[in-house]
Amino acid sequence: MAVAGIDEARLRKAFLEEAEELCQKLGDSLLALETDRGNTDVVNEVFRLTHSLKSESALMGFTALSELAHRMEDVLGSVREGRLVLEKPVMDGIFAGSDLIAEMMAAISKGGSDADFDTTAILQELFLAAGRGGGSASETAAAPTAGTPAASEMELGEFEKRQLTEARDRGEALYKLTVSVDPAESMKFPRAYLVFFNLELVSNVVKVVPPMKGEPEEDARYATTTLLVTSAGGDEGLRAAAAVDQIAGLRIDRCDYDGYLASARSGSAAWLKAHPERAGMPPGVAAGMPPGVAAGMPPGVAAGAAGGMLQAAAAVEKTTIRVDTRKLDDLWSLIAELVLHKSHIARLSDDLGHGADVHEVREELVESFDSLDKISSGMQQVMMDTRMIPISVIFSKFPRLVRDLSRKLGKPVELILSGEETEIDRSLVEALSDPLTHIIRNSLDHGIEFPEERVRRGKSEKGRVSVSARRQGGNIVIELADDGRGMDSEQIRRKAIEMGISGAAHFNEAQLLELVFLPGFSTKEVVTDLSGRGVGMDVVANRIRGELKGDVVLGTQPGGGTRVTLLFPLTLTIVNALLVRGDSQLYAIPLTDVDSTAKLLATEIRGEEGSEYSSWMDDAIPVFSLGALFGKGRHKTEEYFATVLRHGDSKAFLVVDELIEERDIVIKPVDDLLNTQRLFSGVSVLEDGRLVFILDTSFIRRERV
Amino acid sequence: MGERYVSFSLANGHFCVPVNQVLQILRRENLIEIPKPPPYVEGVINLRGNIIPVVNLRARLEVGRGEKGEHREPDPRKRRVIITRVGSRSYGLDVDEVREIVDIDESGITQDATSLFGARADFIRGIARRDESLYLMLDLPRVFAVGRDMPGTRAGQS
Amino acid sequence: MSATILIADDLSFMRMIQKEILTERGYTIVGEATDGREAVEKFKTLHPDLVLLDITMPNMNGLEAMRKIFALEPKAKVIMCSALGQQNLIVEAIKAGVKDFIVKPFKPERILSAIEKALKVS
Repeated sequence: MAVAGIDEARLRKAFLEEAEELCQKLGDSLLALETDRGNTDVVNEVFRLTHSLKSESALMGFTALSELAHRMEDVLGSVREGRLVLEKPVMDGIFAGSDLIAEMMAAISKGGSDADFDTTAILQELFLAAGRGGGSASETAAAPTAGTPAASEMELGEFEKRQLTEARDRGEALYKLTVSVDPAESMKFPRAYLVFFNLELVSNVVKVVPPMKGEPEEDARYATTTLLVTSAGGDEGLRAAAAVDQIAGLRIDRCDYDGYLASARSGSAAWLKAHPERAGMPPGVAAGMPPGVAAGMPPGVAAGAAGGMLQAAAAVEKTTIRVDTRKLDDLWSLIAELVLHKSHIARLSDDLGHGADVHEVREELVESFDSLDKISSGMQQVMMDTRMIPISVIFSKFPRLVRDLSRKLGKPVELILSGEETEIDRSLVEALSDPLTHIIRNSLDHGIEFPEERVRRGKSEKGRVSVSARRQGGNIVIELADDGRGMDSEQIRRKAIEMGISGAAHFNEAQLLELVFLPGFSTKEVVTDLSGRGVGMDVVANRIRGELKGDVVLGTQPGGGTRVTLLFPLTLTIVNALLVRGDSQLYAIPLTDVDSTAKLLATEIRGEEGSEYSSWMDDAIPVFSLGALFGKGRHKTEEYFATVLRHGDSKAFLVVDELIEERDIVIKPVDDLLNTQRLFSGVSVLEDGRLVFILDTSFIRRERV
Repeated sequence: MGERYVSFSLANGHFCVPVNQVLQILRRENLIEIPKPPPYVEGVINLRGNIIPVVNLRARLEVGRGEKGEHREPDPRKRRVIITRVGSRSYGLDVDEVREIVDIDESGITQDATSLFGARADFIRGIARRDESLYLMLDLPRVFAVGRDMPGTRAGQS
Repeated sequence: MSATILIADDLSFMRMIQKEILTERGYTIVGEATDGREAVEKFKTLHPDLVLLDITMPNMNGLEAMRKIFALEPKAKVIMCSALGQQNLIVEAIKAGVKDFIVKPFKPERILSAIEKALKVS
């Protein structure tokens, strides 16, 4: 299987012997690690064991096992380098991984294979534990589509030009080498670096593109490397130096010094003459815009100037990210403050030891704590900010999309974008892209009418689609609207009754529009009658409500157009929430969904059981209670504790048994099985092990009863 | 070539699930109750930070019906929760007693759809015979597809 | 004329495979080492034509061992075996003078061609 010429059985036997032993040792080491997490020897041991398991299983072709071991090795690697702390979630992930490896080994030893095991969950868990953002992982970033580097970077600076003139004076010849690494080679930078290193021994390397500084760089960029060197020895020596294994292509061109020595301005013409294949480059790139400048640049400029660059940036972002250095400065100041307070507290503790007044010390402690609180919030904010990128990365695709579609369909459409600078968490970009694209397609396919029909209806010939994004508290709101046909809710009602959806006869408009998100409703047959407007909306709803823990709402006007509103939280994992209690169960409400807390008197509640309401700031809003939602009903007293929830434009009271406190909680996804009523957006576990269900306040719009 | 299964008993019946779908077996004390649990959900288990729903198999498989009077109360000390993994999701099974790991050969499986022990037939992949015992092989993905049952196929109608 | 090679890797399974591949091609394996220290020792006493060094080994990793070997014999021919993701170590190795590197899991042709090339250079 893996290595030709060696007896299969012997190979397997040898592998099993060693791998099982490694596995055993891994289990033992992990147990040791659990009780002594600071022990660097054990950490190194575990790292080495996972590394060895990875190598061996890869050789034997057990890719699932190898990948799992590799991921674990990464996590341990981060721990070794001090970038990751061995807290509970990380340890849990490693244990789970080790268990799974043991199972795989057991299967393999019985003649089975590791391919039967599903590793997606554990890989994801380990990836998250290692502190990498969401999304599936591929360790090696996909190479940007343009294989050759922006060759305009061959423009030389003054120092480099001086090197050239001196070399010319010495009588050396100028060569341009283009080296391509074998595509099958997994480590492109080191290969290129090896060539560079060898060349430096026999020639004078003036410039390398992409640049090499002696530290590992983003690998994929070095698939092809161009070097400008001078040498007195003829190209034999150069060829020998570049004769490194796994180099697929080597091209040596003898060059003219003049082409490179001309000044920047006039040099472009000469340069372009020397490189006719580059003549078609867009102005922004040819001007030699250094790659690092993209960070911190206003989004409009970045998107416009180098269309493909943001895409490339997005593809790169899986392993490295570009960060505005001002954010790093902010972080640095916060850390400085943190250190100050740390010393302060140490001093206080000293003082106590020397008999200082307890009350005075306590006051200072409280002050320090407040500062620490602010500092940690500040740090959290900075970290969040570094994860945030403007939504223009997604929006930038839309103008092209609309133009192509409108051309193809023969419907002139104007696209209006706003709020592109609104920032969203990087991890959401992938999840959002498809649904938004889909909704826009829908608008053009089915929403916007053909120009003749529009004119007949007294509308402008050109259709209009607008996409806007804005922040609302801790949520992002994206609105996509068109001024097309709209949907007829009565027609939806008719369809619903036909499909046997009970109660459809009495649904209000909001409820009818909600039906469009049902899988049954999104089918082609149903949808041709509804002008196809609902196609695929069930998938969109799933993505937004499920993965993004948000909500999507439809608004429409027959003949006037349709608006889709998406709402989802800025960040998924840690949330500042209000903890409340209903009977013996704890619930958390994200603070962004809490308008305020209040006391309700029984006399202030109107209406019948199941549809009660009360007044709040001149509005009558519904009254829900934890008791009714999750228990046996609201038990009657004279006055109630309640919070005023808000979701979008809606508000409602939620009666609780106890308002506990505001705190940060870590959200974990809640399985669908536990969430059949869709009342939860997640679940959390407190330090003492108690379960907390996080409420999804969208129910105040959806549900009555 | 045989496959290995974990067998367990539930209300007088013997069932089994493939070993590679079993993550862990825990004692029932770890079960946490939740308010107004959805149908078939017994509670949850906190497994290393992950909240895993535990399915009430009795209710789900509808065993033990029509056996009133002959019903043998399970020994509470033997009750366990088997944590299984289906695809990328993990669920727990609330069982009366975990028995043993059995090797089941392809040839020993019959696809007979008639239900035994009163269990719902659509959750059973097949019946395996081993030595003198019969094991019902659970179709876990089906068992866990709660809420996605098509209306109209409620118990007793299939 | 068959070149002599020293194999250093802490995993016996790995050493076995490398040995098989190389002996079949006609190279002579003069010794095996299970950690960096042993690799340096055996290099001193056995004077192999080439050393196959794994980066991750206990008791002195491949990089350290390589530096010591180069201190003993600047013209030594060393090929480093590494796993994916050890870029910085490889770059360090290149700076120290390693002739070539192989990424695990490797195909037999790779290791053979790397050794061939390394031995060819005088």
